[in-house]
Amino acid sequence: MSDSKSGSSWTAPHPPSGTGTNANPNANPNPNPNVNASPNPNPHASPGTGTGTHPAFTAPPVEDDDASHPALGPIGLLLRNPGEVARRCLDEEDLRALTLASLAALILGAAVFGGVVGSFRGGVQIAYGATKVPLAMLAALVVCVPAFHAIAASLGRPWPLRTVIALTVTAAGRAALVLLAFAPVLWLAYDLGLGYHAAALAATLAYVVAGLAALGILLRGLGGAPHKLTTAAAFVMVFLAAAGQTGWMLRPYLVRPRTEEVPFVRAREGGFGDALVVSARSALGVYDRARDVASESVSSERALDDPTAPAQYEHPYSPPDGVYR
Amino acid sequence: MDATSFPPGGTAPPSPAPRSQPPWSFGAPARAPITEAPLRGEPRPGWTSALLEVDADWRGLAGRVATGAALSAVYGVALGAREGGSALLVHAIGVPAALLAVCTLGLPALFIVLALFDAPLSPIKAAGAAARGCASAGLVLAGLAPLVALYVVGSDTAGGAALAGGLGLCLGGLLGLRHLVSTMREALARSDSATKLLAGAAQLAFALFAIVLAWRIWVALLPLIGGAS
Repeated sequence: MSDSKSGSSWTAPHPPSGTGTNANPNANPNPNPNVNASPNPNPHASPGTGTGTHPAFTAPPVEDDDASHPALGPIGLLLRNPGEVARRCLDEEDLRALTLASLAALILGAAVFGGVVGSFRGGVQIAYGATKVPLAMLAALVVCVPAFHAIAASLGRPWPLRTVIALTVTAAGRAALVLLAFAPVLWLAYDLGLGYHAAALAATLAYVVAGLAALGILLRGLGGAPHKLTTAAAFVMVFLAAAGQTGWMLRPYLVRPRTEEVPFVRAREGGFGDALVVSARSALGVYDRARDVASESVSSERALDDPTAPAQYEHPYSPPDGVYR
Repeated sequence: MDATSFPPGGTAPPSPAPRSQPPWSFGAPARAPITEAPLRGEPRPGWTSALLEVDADWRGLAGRVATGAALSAVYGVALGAREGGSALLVHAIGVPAALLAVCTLGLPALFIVLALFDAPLSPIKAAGAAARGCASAGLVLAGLAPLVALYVVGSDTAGGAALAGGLGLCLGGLLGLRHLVSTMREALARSDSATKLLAGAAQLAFALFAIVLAWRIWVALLPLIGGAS
């Protein structure tokens, strides 16, 4: 107790093989003689019992008035202190450790989340999802960074490319950690029989929350200079465009369980922009695809009437392979 | 003797230090609020800072305009990637052509109009604003080039590719124009309110002219957008 200031560097004075516990006389003003007098029968005793001398249970600092907070590792910083992460990116301080940890978190979080999404069908789709989601995110970042760099410079933040890369990667790493947190919940929901559309919605919700977490770093990095919101909005638009296209190219992620054959990527069917245009026209009541399919089906009217026709004519509006986007 | 009483003649035991952790507890200590260190200062300026500077001599300004044009040519290459071959070169020439046309055709006209209103704007200041606008537009277009290439190459329809390419051109052009106009506005900050009003109207007209001129040139020169047929 009297040496509370030294708590930050305090370690158990005896090695783990020691017999007694809490052997530091300063650490325990009311030693339990029953504990100290007899050998510890269980050196791996759980914390809080007063018997733990295992390295994993090294006593934490009792009191530390000087340090504002125990040193957070890069992952802890990403989660707990986005402002400090942004500051380090701007000051170019410890960028290597921070960006490497963020990159690792990005790959791990996206892979686990992708695997969980792929588990909706199961089988090989789990591996496909675990591979494709990190790939899509990394590709989106590669495409986004030059645009972020240019837009930030044009809107009053002529930062070095290194700073922009660090901000982007750390923000993405934070988002991936959120995805990692969502993964078990999503997996449980799938396991409990979540429907296809609800599953897609749940995954989308996870992406939205992860995006908001990433925005926490980006907004702090943008600071209080003018055009902060314009810059942030431009970043978001560019990222959505890039992630939309890279994600589109690597479809499918969520596949119905009844699908027999799942490709690693679907055959090329235009781009994300084309899909947006088609969807927008559909929302206005102009059904291009239905019309195309209908015109095809008119030309193959005989095939529709023919009971021996190929299976693709069974229903003109159903996806041919059961894979929905 | 209960727990709160002291032995006769004894003294009170020392009170425990505030915020101390029970010594038998191995849980995490009470944590102080998470803090972040203040920013050391302005972030180190990158190469774009020098590119977007206003003050320079004529030679420096010409260099910035050339850099902006070269950067925007990267965007042209991205547009030409859909067709490949000679389309790469055609688009690489067509995109900067509009920026250079706005600078060479529009800026002298704007300077003359502002001079008629006796606006306190020197030729080199006007040229500096134009150079900054051109460099800014080129920078943004070059930054958007990878993204646009992804869309232009991946799009199934020519319309989709043209839409993606056009959106990028609009964004880059508008940001460049914003830089040009805001730099001129800063240069005119010392003028009286009437001059500011007239200069604002002239700048608005110039902005409209620049948009129409740039779009006209892009439509005429860029096959992807619908020209050069």
